[in-house]
Amino acid sequence: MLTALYIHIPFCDKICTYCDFHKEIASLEKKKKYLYALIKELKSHHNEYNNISTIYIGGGTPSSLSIDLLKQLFKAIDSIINVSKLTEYTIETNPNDITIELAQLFKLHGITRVSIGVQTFNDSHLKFLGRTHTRNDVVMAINNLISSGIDNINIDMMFSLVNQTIKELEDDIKQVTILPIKHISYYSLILEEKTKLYYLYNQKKISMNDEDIEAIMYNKVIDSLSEFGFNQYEISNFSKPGYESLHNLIYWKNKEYLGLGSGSHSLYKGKRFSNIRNVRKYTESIVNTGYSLKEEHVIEPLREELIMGLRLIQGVNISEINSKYNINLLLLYPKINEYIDNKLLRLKNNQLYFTRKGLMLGNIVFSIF
Amino acid sequence: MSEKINYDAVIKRQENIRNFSIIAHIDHGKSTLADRILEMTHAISDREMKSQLLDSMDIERERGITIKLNAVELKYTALNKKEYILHLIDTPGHVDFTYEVSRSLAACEGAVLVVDAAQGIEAQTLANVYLALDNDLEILPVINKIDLPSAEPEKVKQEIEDVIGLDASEAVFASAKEGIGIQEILEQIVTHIPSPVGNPKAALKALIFDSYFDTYRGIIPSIRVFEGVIRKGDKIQMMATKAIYEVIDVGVFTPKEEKRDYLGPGDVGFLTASIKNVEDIRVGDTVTLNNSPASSPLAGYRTLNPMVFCGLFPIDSAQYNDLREALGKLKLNDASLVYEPETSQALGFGFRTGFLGLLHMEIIQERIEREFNIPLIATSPSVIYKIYLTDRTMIKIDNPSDLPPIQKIEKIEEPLVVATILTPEEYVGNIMELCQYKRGTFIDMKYLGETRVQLTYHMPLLEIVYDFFDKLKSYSKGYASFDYEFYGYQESKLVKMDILLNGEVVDALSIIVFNDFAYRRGKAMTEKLKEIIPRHMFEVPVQAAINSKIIARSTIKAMRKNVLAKCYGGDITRKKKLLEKQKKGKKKMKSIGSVEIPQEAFLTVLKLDD
Repeated sequence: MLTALYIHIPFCDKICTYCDFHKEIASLEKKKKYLYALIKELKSHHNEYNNISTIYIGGGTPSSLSIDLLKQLFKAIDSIINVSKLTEYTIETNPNDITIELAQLFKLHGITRVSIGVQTFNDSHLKFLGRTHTRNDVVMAINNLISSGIDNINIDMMFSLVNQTIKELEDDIKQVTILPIKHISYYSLILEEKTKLYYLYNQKKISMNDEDIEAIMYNKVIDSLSEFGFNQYEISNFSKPGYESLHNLIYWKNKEYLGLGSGSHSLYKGKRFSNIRNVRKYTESIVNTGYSLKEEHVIEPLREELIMGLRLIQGVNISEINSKYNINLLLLYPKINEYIDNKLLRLKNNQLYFTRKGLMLGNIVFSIF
Repeated sequence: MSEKINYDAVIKRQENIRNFSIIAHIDHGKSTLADRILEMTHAISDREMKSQLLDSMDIERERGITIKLNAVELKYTALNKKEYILHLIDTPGHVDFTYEVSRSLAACEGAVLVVDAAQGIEAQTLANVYLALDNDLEILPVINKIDLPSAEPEKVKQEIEDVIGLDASEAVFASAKEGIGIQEILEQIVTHIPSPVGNPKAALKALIFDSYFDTYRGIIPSIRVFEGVIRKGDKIQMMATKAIYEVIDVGVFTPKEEKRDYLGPGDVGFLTASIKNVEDIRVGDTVTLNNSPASSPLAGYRTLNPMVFCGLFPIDSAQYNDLREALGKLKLNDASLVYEPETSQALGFGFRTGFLGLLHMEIIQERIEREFNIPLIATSPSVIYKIYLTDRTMIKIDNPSDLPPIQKIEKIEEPLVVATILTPEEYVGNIMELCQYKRGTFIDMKYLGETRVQLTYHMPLLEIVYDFFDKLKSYSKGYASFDYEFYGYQESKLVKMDILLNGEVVDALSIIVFNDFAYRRGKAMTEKLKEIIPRHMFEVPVQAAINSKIIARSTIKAMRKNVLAKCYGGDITRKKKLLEKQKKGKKKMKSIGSVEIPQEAFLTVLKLDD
């Protein structure tokens, strides 16, 4: 049953050095055309939205769209889906976009949750990453949201930045946890191909932190955040009780979702597919045919269920998996027992989940499947 | 089908045949000259002309050397208006391939000696010339690359006369690149190189100087007929292996295969007989008719002894048979490759393989991986040691693991080579230091020409096997060249050094090393292994030991963090690929005990900076 809808806005005002998402800087004209196509695609599925309970508008930077374009998008969504029935309606933003006007617009159209990209509060690291905001911007943004009635706020943070010290990390943690927010996503800086960071790394102009420092930092993040009431519920996600991201839980529980917009992915009607990852081609194909060019992907239900499910701290339920797939998981993958002995995994009351050690070395377990 | 042979036609043709090779030091222009000759005799249309056609293998092209032999029939109309049949038999240009060079020279009556007008005579030039002289060939000197600004053709001409003692008064000044002098060379081939002698009516004697494998037709030997005639339908006998076959086809290379009714004395070409058994064909063997065989085989078949050994193991043990087949096929055109089964505790079943030298070894390894798709682990090359035991017996070993316990050993002898190094004089100091460092004994130094020096050293083959060539090149900015030949055995203080991973000896990493170098090498090896072996879930100590005494160690830290930080709906497909890539990387590793070791570990320890 389809309960989750993802909408992609592939536009940003400036490109961050580390980002390899599908995004570009574009003219107003191009954005208008894209939105036209996006809304057309949205409406083409209008019969399928009866059970939608979460919507996630991601990017790029959705909040970089002008107020007019955002209004257009929200109105289109309102016209097809009863947003008051949603359990969660998220939009991703940059701190300096959230004026009081924008916050009120969000509230007006039923948005319940706002995710803000912060990454760090340290000015020199911010500069290196290509981020254009300050700490104040973040505080202002949060104030505007709360005063407009939206208090389910997430902040994205990154640790193990180039040359980041443990002390700097501790400062960041302190600063983010005292904010009146409900959720923190904390990722380690990853070197992705086709980013400016990668280019610098290849030129040997920068070096990444070594594994041991990364490990120390990750442990520190988990421990500190929990001290401040943000419980880890997924490898990189922490929240106050009851404020876990419902939309993202759909991914980790391997449930269906439909993606709209260029480059968006779907798991729907037993298939995995994605829209063409190119704004112009997406727009053209919708305008010309009413459909987006799509690419189908390999689907391996059991493997995906395990790789995604184990990312949750609570892990997966073995008996549920055994009956759903008609298998005996422990017999099928005897290495699981080996890793239980090695203390990477724990099995309790049919729940199979990572230990702290296992969390750190998760890929070893994922590689079994 | 037996047609009457027109012997007059055979003899007439024979008079106009010229069989020759081109010999040269690497990069002196042999291949370019060969291309020009092919062009001038229109063996290939200009459209088909691919540069360096005779260097048809990728590996050769990459390394700029020729390995495979080809024998192309060319038609040349000389200035006297007569048409001649030229056979160009290509020879490799590296020190490791002396046997191959000598085989192809045995199939010729003459050799074109190419010398670079800027570089002059080099170590291999000498080696190859002496080989050609040994085979009684008519040598035509050609001074090439005269187009270069640094060319000094008159000087080189003098060098040829002084250093080799060859008459260079008619030496052709050429530039293969610019196409200068090619016709003069062809004219000299026609006028100076004798036509083959041989009686077409005598008993058949044909020399197998190469062979290759064709999936449909089996093994195809390349032959040079010396006496008699060979035809389709003949029943032939391989004189050394006694194998009997019926000839299906004979023909020549133009360079493509072209069938003929028969081949007579002086002809160079191929025969097919649906030969599937690798053991029946030996390069250097003589082919004769079964019904009226020759009384004695052709001379010149000699087995050159391998100098350097290593263990070759398939990473995937299921490919053991594939490896055996691959070695068999490679041996078809490489008689000097020897191999026999070997078992390693660490690596399982494989082969102990013998080569003429390091380059030979590297090329065979690459060919096995690329042409036969068998990822390999090659263990450290070693040489043949003579071990004199306390009970007065002597054994020979080439595998460090076969070394008897130290109490049983009276003394160890290692092979020595005589190394001839040619270098510009400004590098003599560096090179002498290098040779000394490599335990060389100075024998001689003399000037060849005004600024070039020939150094002669006796050196342990063991030290040559460990990156001597690379170091020589780097100490001389690439200008030095060298050649070596087996000399004899000498007693040395040698010990076996073992490497332990996670407390267990990995037999495949053991080496025999000169006692005084042991500590330094042990340290370098443990450091290098620490870099190459990836982190494991537990700490891995790496130790070097002699007689169970640890002489060096390093530690590979345990893995601390290895997890995908992000995975949302749009990431799954890509992240799965990432995990697969990690898994594939693991497949290239060999599990030894509880430690995963990458392929390179076994050989990279050779390229140490010690």
